[in-house]
Amino acid sequence: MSIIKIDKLVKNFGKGENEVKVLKGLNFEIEKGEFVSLMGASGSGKSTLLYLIGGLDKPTSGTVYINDKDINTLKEKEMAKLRRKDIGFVFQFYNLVQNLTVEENIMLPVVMDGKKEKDYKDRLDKILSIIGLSDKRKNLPNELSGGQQQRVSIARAMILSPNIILADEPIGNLDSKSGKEVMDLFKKINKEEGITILQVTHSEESAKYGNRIIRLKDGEII
Amino acid sequence: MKIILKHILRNLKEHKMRAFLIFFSLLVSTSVFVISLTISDDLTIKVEDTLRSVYGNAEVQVATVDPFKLDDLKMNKDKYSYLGMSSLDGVDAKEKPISILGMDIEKAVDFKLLGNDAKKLALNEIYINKNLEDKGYKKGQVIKLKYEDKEYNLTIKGVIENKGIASIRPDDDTFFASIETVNSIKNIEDGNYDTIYFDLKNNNKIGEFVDYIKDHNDNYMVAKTVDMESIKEATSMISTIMYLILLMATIMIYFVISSLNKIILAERIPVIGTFRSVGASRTKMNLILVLENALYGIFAGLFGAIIGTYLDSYCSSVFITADGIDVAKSSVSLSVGTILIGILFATLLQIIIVVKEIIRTNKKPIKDLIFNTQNSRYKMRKKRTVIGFILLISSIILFVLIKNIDMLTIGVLLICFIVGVANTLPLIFQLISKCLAYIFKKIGWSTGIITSKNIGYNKMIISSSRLVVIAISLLSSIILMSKATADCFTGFREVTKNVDLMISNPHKSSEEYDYLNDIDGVKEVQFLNSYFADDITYTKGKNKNKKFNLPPGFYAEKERKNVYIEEIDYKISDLKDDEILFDEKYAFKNNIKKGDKITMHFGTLKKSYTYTVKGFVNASNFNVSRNMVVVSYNHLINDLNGIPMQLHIVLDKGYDPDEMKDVVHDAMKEVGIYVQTTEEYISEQEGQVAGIIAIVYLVIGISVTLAFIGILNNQVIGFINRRKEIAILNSTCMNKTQIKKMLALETILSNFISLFIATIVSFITTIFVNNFMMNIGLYLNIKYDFMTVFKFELIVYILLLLTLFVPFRKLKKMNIVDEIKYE
Ligand SMILES: Nc1ncnc2c1ncn2[C@@H]1O[C@H](COP(=O)(O)OP(=O)(O)O)[C@@H](O)[C@H]1O
Ligand SMILES: [Mg+2]
Repeated sequence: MSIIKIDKLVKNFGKGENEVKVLKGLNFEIEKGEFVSLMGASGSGKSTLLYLIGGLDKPTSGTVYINDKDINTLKEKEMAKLRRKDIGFVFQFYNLVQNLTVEENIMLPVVMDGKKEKDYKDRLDKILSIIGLSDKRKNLPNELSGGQQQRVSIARAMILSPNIILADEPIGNLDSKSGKEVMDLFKKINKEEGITILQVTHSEESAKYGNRIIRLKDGEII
Repeated sequence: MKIILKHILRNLKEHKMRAFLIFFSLLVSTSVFVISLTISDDLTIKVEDTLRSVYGNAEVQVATVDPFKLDDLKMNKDKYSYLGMSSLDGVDAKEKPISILGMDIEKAVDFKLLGNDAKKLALNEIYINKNLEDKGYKKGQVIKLKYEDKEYNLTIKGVIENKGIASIRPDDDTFFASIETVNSIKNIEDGNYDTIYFDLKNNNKIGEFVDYIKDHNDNYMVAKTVDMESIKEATSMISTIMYLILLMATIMIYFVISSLNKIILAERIPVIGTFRSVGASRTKMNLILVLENALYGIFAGLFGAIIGTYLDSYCSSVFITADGIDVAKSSVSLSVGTILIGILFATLLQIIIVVKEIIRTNKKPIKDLIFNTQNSRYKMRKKRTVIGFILLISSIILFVLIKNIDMLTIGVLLICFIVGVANTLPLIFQLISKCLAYIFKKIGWSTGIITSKNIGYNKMIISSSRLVVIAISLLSSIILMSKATADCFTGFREVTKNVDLMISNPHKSSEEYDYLNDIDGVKEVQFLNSYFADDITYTKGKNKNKKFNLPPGFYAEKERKNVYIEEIDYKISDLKDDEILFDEKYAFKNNIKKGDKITMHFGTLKKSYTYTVKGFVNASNFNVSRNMVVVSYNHLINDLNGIPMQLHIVLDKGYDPDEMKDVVHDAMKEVGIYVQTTEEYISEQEGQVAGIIAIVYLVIGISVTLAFIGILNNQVIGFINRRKEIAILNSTCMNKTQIKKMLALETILSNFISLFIATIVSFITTIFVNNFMMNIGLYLNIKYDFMTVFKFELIVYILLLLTLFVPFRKLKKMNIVDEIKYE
């Protein structure tokens, strides 16, 4: 059983003369526990595909199945729940809430899920040690380096033990040393926690961390 | 949830200025709300307390000029206690008028009509009031009293406190004696009184008792000492004015807060996106944002209720001017109820203002939120513009069409009109911006072209302009209203230009004042004749025993001297005894037309007269309520009231009114009269209005501050939002000086247009306000005084131009590379 299944996925932007066909009927599957890298030129539709899988955007036609469920049939509340529990997001620009501390940022999904924070204390400690920021837990995001901030956002994506992490150019904004640290972290959580990872990347080097590469060109898989 | 709360609190902390502004706006609105809510009750209680402290247990007062006995009165109750009084006006050895009140002193203390210190008096023993003590009279002294050519020696037993009836005229010279003393001087039998007070012993049928006496006895003045109905009637007008101020303040605050809120949300969009991406549902996100806003409401409501309660006691003391009586000080009591209502009001108001925008923001796809695809371009929504236009036009049309419009409708129409203006404004701005762009293109001025495009399409500019238009037009109306209030005595002042002294509260008919002409320096004595009573009803055709919106005041004149009442279509001197003229506004309000036959029933006089309405007059010089009718002099003097309301004295040239005031007062052997110079009289009247105006100016001051800070804030955030745009302009085609020019031109032009539109809008809102005031019976005659509005707008304009310093400073500090790094 595949954890992600894409069926004839089409996405167009704009209308009439301005219509841009970005994704032209994609089909692929990702199995549980895979670490897949999505590559392609700028503007080839990588981010668009990622957002469709994460339910941040709606396809023009075609279907996205997560755990065999057509996510288009989910109601807004169920969709929010899916994002909370099954999918973790990591963005290029970290997207941390600036006035919350590292641990508060990581705990946000727990709060949103209506769970008690103290039930997740052990998990928080564990994740903080995985990302290597146990000593920075009380700091605010702007007191951290870019690589550290990105690790916090990965921790946030992991806190509720999701099945999938979707990462859009997670190291696109980092220097090579920080980038390597983040990629090592992904590898580690993929192995140790069994989390399926789909990352968008430009670099052939970081693509090698995964076990499979999907290449996009002009809206099609090559 | 703790994390969310922390996040919210830190948001507030990080934007102190904005948080404070919203908090303060809500605070103002809540305070005014609390005042409007409680002032009427508070005033009622204060007046009631005051009257109760004067009259003690006495609930009903029955009085006549000639002495009467208790048995003479036909009454429908036998369970009561009563206190009879007999009084006389005499003079002392120096011919100064002195009045004596005779009563059973011990019983009066029981009735709480006198303070506890008063004890029983023997024959020819008296107490004196504080006023006489101040003049040097002492205990043990013997005073000569002259009454009807006989002299009596009275011994002072002590000084009485300024309590109960002794506090009614603290400035008069008054003796208190036993009833036997007074009756023996007056040479009448025991058991005769000229006033009887009744205590009905907690019987709540006081009204019935009063009505029965009125109906079954002739020639008595019968009244409740504390008439709650008339007190309530008088206080409700004041709370209505407060509601009008509340309405306007709230509309203004609505726009201040909603523009702030839009900015806050716009800035927070990426954070909202992040929350959503980690799994917050739309509803949850809405809740978080609403909660944040509710916090403002809760705190502002709490403090607003406290401030409102304290201001309320200030406001109500401003409004009370019971003649000569010290007003009871109500202890300020802040109730839990008031606090809860205040919090509820502020919270609801805040949530109502922001909720629509919150929901609208959250409707956007998460992707757009995270990457903040917002731009600073204003997107006009056709539906809103059309609805705005319909509201604008229909509110004006309805206002013109509906005759005898009521207050609530005016309030609703005013809101519709303002909302209509707010929604059509973007279209107007875009049209003007197109015209300007066309003109600048013709001239070939590139900065002008860019600027004029910004004016029509930049979100911040449109939002600030909307704020300016609404705030300034409403404030202009309030200013004109308060100006008209301040001017409401100018008519009277003008008419009485040649009058030097005014004597109020005379007791005798005009012929008996002939002697005043003999005083050196008095050139002429004029009489103001009128009759006021609040128990007048009328019958017109099928309408039997109807009440007027305000009871009419009857006016008549022997000859035309001063134009207190302006003639319109009929000469006052031509009036026959069964003819009447109505003030035009008063007639309109009560639906009375020329030629109507109308029967007036005078409750106190127990008479009815039928009149034919011959025409109209303008009584605006006489009083602002304009509830005046004019009848023939003969009829007024013989049938309604033979005693003039006021005596007006014209002095010979070279006599100083201030000196003559005392001369005339001494010459008049009469107790209870007030002699004032015309200036004193009018200032006293104006003083009563000054309090209201002070409050109005307070509200204006706060509102201007709010609107100004709001606009300043818009400028700051507008600049932050446009940083990227400005940085790109700077890096590609414009230098900083050109950008400065563009920003300056934007501010100069957009605010000029806003104020221009505000002038037109204020013209209409002033008509609304004027009608509102007329509706509550105040014919302030609010004129659209262009110069006043212009001066006000000029000051505002200069202030608005000063806000430019904010973007100028930011521009100077701006580093372009930082701004466009992430592009
Ligand atoms: N909201 C949108 N409206 C119109 N076009 C869009 C929108 N989002 C993306 N596109 C277009 O879709 C194409 C793919 O974009 P994207 O998925 O961001 O590419 P990538 O992430 O591979 O660089 C681009 O040509 C982009 O211009
Ligand atoms: Mg991309």
